[in-house]
Amino acid sequence: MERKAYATEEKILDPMIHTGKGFYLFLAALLALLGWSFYAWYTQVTQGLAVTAMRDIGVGPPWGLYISNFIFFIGLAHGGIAISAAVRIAGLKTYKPISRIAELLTPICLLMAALSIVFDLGRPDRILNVFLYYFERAGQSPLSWDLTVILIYFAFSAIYLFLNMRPDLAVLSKKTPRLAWLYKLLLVGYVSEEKEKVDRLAWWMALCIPALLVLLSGGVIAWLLGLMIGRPGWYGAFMGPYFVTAAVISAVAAVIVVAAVLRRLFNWQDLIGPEIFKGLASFLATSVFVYLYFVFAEQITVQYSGPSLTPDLSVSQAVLLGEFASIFWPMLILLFVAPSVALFIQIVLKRFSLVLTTLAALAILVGLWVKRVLIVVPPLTRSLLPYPLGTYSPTWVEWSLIAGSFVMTSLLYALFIKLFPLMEVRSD
Amino acid sequence: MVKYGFVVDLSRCMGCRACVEACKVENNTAQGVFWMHVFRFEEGRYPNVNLAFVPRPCMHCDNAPCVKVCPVGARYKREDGLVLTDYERCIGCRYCEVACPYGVNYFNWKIPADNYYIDWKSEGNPVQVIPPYRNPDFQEKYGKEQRRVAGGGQYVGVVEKCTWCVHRIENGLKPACVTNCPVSALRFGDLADPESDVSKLLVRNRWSRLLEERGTEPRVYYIGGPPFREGLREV
Repeated sequence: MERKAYATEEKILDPMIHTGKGFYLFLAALLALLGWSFYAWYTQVTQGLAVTAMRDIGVGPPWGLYISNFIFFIGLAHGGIAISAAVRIAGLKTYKPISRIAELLTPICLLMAALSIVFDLGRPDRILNVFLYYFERAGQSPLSWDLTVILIYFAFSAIYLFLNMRPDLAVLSKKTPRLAWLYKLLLVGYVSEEKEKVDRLAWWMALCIPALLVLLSGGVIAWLLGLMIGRPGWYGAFMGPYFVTAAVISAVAAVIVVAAVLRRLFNWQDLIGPEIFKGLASFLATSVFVYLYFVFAEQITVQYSGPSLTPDLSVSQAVLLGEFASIFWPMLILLFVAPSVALFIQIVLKRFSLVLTTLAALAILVGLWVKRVLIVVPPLTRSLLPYPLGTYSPTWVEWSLIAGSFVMTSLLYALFIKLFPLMEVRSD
Repeated sequence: MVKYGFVVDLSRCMGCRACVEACKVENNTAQGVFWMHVFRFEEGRYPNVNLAFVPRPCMHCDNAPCVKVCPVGARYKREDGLVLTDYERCIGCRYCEVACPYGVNYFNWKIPADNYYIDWKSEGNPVQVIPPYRNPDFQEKYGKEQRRVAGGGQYVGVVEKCTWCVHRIENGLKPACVTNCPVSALRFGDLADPESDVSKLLVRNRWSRLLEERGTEPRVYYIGGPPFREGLREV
């Protein structure tokens, strides 16, 4: 038993102690890509948003990939901390090994969501106005509501991650002299008895997390679009459940992908058992079915209405038969139906393949990114007044900045892996 | 208290778009930006055809969706009813543009000074005068709030829209489109004053407003027939 505990601890700390050539290559690749994205951003800031494919109503959509990416990252952010909270509240010990891997997604993805908004601004130099006039606007503007909930959520998730990690840092400050200064700094005021209190505190925080999840994805993010009376295809109470489901799905899919990659990379096969993936995959398949039903319900409601609701109908037609159909149908079949059915068959046949599960989760993740674009863009190319139809095909600047947000996510994740333990270290 | 309103007589409009022209000259809007826009329609089949026109300024709604969504309060409603944009506060998120059912907002995607029909910066600039985007009227602050709201083409990355020519109104003039209309299809005045031109027109005529069912309470009234009807095809 002693030996096993020791071996486990070694394994968890291994990525922090040993850094191979591969890591530096990976880092160099990420930095090079980031440099490219930075160049794209420089182009956009100096030449104006004209370098994107976004345009005014009647020409193109005023919002495009950036806002879609924002909504996507907000969705991703939930999973981690929601899984971690579930582990704590419901006592799901099985999932404990991946709880920090998951938790970490939350603050990183929230940062990337905020970054996507900065990409979208015409005047990023004036971003502080959002705080300056916050109290004047917080009563009315859904964007101010977003800001509020995102800030609360970020603070919450960062504190949650930090507090739960402190006992591990105490162990580490003795083990890794190279970074001892960092751990000592983060361990200000640490007493070994605090673990018990932190556990209680974390339990209460975990209790609030589901409420925050609903408030953010089922609430303010959905209302960002759902309250817009002037946009065909958006206005309605349906957006809340629709968005919160998508958020949960993308989050669980992301946790599957990240955990599977890390498990393979660090040979953590015995630490992260297949039963974890089995559970997450069943949940994923079921929730994708719910989402597919939502997509169907959304479309039939508009299609049934007939020509009296012309603008809404024209958005639906654009997606089902028009210029977006060539994206919509492949997305629906290849990225939603096929992977969820594959996962379902796996469950029914009582077989399990981690590779298949991971690929399915990845497909669903990509599918949800595309779906966000199809939620944001089509209604902005149609109008209630007889303007010409807008068109949109994103430029290299937009693609580069979107890539930049994913590169940054990987970079932050990689740096965290090198500085902090991804699992609870057994203390002596 | 003054309560500004705008009346469009569709039976008079002949689609000359002098209002569009006047607006562009007055407000120095950049290429592709039309604060005053005129929808043009035809109906029927040859030889029984008819043309119809619907001028569309900003509606300056009483329950303006753009004002509600602005996260920094750059878009605001004045006591006299004008809905204006503070160019120095706008962060360029374009939420107002997304929220507006009428599509009246225009974003400065390009640097406006480089986006005019004439290259004002070049040495051989055809008219050796102050470029229009340096119009001193637009550098001033207006209204009780004292904010930079008049004219177009001032900053890259901010949203602009029809101001009902706030800089002219404050000097006792009418909006440029109204003044320039050769057939008096566009009227502007004080709705709170029962003796005003616009009030009388609204008493004497059946009127309607665009997308009234959306609850935006627009302040632009259309008389002389319904603005949009069955069978109209956009030209």
